Amino acid sequence: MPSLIHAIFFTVDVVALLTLFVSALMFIVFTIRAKGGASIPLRPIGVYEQMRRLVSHAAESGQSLHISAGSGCIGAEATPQAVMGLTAVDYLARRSAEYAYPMMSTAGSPTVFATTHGILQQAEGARGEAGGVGVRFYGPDPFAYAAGTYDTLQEKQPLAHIALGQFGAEGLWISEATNMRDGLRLGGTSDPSSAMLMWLSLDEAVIGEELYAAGAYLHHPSHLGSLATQDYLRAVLIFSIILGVVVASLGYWG
Amino acid sequence: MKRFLPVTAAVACGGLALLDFFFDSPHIDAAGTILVEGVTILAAFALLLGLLNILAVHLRRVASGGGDRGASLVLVLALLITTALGISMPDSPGIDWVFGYIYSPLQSTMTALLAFFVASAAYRAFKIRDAAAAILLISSLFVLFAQLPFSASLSPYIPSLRHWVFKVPVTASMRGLLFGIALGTITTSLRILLAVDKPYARSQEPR
Repeated sequence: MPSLIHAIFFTVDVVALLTLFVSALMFIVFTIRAKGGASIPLRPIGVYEQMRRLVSHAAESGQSLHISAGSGCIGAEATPQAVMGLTAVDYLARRSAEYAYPMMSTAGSPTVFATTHGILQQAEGARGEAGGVGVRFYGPDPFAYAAGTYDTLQEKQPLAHIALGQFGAEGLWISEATNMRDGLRLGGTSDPSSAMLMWLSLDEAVIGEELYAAGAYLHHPSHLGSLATQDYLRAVLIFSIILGVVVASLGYWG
Repeated sequence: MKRFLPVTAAVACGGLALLDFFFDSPHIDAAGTILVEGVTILAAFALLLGLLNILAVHLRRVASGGGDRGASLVLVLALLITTALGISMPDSPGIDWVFGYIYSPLQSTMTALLAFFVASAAYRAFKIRDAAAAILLISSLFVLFAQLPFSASLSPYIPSLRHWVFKVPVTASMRGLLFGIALGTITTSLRILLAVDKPYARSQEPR
């Protein structure tokens, strides 16, 4: 026990632990409230609104939708981004099972490929289709993934191409190489420099933290709790910055 | 049980990884190392699955006899030859040749294309559609102009204005963006850690 107490107070990053504790507490409270039906207003985000519309268009026209969850690996630093990409894959796959439109996906990381395969296999099973699952893996190299995705888009000519998840320069490569097509191109990533390039190129794009709102906007009401947590934490950060500036300006700190 | 086991395993592994981050204990470190190795092994198996997927997709294409079957055949042959060389002679000059004379030039070609893609994307973005595009256009043109060596000779204020643009609005917006990303990462990680989001166990519509 004394060694544990020593570990807590002398070797642990107390600020990080406190931040985690407060965030977890807020998250639990807001998630319970959101699941209980508390109203949390959402501002419109173009990409997610377009994705909802695309489901209707695909259901009516029978055209396919293509989605890429990026080249980030689950289990590595990019896990949260990859999970958000998979949330979007899951949304489209569930609707595809319901409305029977074809769907395909390309993956740039083995773990995302395996997960996407599972999600699409479930959707295709629900549609009563057997055989090849519409997911393709093009290797862990970002540019091989970009070239493979381009090839798939040229071959299948889907109604829309959606790229949500972890993307580097390959995000721009894919979106620009597919620019001549008629289909809608949506997407985004949280990495600032790649997000800017994708924003320039795509028809609609999410930047930075908007990527993490995918679940709340698409089909997970419980994700509203995490959005509320983010908003309150942001307010605390802004207040801390202003307080720090005032205290430092008065000469009491730094 | 089908959902209970994966959720329990995921929460336990996440909790252990978090403990490993915060506490410096040899037992927790050892457990954390085992988990990291486990992830690596799982990723390797997933890579094998992906390899089979590439082979299946392109062999099907070759067999169907479509217009792109030539490219698919090249891909399949390249994959098989490189795999065979890599397994049988991992340190041979043949493998170095493949990477040095095929893989690297192809990658350089793809990277070089990015320059044109940036230019064409910027050109479309510069068409003034709204206030954001107008700000982007004006600030980009100013920064481009201010980078030119002779711009300082036109006015001594141009270099200091350029410095201010980089130091104040660019840094402020980047920090704002990074704060947002950090908060998004925290809440997404909490969702997975507390099993609110279960990308590994999807069977019914999430609530």
